[in-house]
Amino acid sequence: MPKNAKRPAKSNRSSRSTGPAAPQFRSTLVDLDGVDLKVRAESVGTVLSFGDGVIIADGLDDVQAGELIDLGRGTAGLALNLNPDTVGIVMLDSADHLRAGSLVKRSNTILSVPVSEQIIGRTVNALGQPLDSRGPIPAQRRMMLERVAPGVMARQAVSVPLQTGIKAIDAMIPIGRGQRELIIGDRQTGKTAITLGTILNQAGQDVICVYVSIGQKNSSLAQIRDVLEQHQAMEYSVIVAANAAQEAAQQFLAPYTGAAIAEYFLEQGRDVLVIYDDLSKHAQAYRQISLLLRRPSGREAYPGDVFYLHSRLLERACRLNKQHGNGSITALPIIETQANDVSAYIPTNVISITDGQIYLEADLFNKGMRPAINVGLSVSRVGSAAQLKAMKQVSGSMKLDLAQFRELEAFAQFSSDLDDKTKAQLSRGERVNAVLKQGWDSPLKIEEQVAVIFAAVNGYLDQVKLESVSDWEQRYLAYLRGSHPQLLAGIAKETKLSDDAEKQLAQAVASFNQLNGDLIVIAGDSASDAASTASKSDDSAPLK
Amino acid sequence: MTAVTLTTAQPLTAGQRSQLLKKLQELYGEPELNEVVDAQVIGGVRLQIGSTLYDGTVSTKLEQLYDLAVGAPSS
Repeated sequence: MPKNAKRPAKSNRSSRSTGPAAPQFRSTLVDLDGVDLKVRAESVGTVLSFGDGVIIADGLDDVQAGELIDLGRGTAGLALNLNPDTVGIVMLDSADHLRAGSLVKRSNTILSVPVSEQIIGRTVNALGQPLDSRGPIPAQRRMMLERVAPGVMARQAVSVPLQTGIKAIDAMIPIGRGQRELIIGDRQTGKTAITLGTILNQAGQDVICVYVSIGQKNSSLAQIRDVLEQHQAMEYSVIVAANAAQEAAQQFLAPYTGAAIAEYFLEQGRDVLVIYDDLSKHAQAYRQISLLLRRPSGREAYPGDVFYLHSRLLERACRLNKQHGNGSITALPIIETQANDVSAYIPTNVISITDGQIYLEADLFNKGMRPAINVGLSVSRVGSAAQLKAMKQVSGSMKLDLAQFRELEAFAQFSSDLDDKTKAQLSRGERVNAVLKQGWDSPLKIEEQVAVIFAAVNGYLDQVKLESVSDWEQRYLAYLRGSHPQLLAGIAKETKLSDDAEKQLAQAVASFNQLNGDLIVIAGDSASDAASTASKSDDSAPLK
Repeated sequence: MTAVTLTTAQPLTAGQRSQLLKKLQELYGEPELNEVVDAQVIGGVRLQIGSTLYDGTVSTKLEQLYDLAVGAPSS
């Protein structure tokens, strides 16, 4: 536009009065010289009724299912119900300018989002529009939101680990690249914290992270974004946000947008991690749309295809074989249960779709066990196929040991007169359990996890005071990083624990314990220590 | 009978009307012409035949220019 051009006179139509008083021009000059304003044939429809986010229109001949409908003034809708005489359109933006009799137009496009390398670090909404005021995102390709998942022959088995940096997960519920692992639990049990910790741990792992926020509070998302920026995680992450105040249709589409963005990188042969936080709100948004479109409802008032809603989303997480680029998408969907009810409709649906679940319990969280993972109920169906050999070696029997410990713990509440062997087992179990506690923002590298778990399962923590275990762990890791960095590097490189490495680790722990006597309990006190912790657990246990 | 709605800024002359009706007859059979005069379109013609719209009004072209220069409102 020429520099001295006047701004267009304020229109005398009342239509523009809802917007800002003066238009803000784009900072990039647009050349209006060669602009094509030819008259085209447009397929239109007339609004018959309009309310609650749903528009019923007639006309719109030959409209396709899932097609974008232009509602005017830059707003759009989605044609979801195709009836012989009418079309049910769900609004994607609030289109307050519409009236009965308004014209709506077909756009001839099925929903897609513009993606390019520059989307990394950005925050977008369900339509791919930027939300972070950093300018438009250049579009290298348009990725379809609805897409058929890769077929059986295009895939290969999951065998490369996705390290979460969380000991409890990487040791006993290992996740592989290309797996779908559900994170399920009541509200405020640390579900989002686990996913954030996993994102933080992907620094330097060449994994793109996509965090999809569905129906959350804007304040929560702002906090999450702050955390990711402080830890430089936005350098490899994308946020897709459809928060609580957004139209239900945007909340419904946001996970598919996340999947579409992930597929852009998948096709380049890269590894992607997608987090859907959370699918419970996603199902609720879909239920809202379906009920307003008068589709028949089923169990818990959800529409009949609510399973398909999630299965087609999660099937797009996969690991492709070499002919298709060797990329992978790992999905971590989150489901929020009510009162620990995993047998409700949506939780059971998603459990049957995913390759395992991480089950978080409020009781554990309140007792101070964080991450509050119930190791007994949690499972990874991919398991040790996607686990570092060294980790498999040290944690092999940990799950069983912890299960036995819990049984013993319950038994020990009733008897303070235990034989030494039982006391020792209890004491060992308590310390292995304590080692699994971890701050959500302190992810550990896999070799460090191996070192700590090695010490715990081989009895090097038996003499450490129970309340000092986390102290011990921090100091021990600092000691290893300082005095034995080559040992850690060796574990990471060889990926398995050679006998030599084991001996070196054993020596390192022993010498560390010698140097840090203040953390160690003197031999005589260990009995009173076990008794006092047994009575402590007595207070917090439910009455039998 | 095809319902045709024509929106112009000023009423059609007799000659323009007969020309239009002749063309519509050729393409769509017996047209039922509904003329709307709306000064807001400033100039040009908006023709809606059934559910197909041909919008050649000046106001719409100005809107398109506006959207290009300023951009459609983003959420």
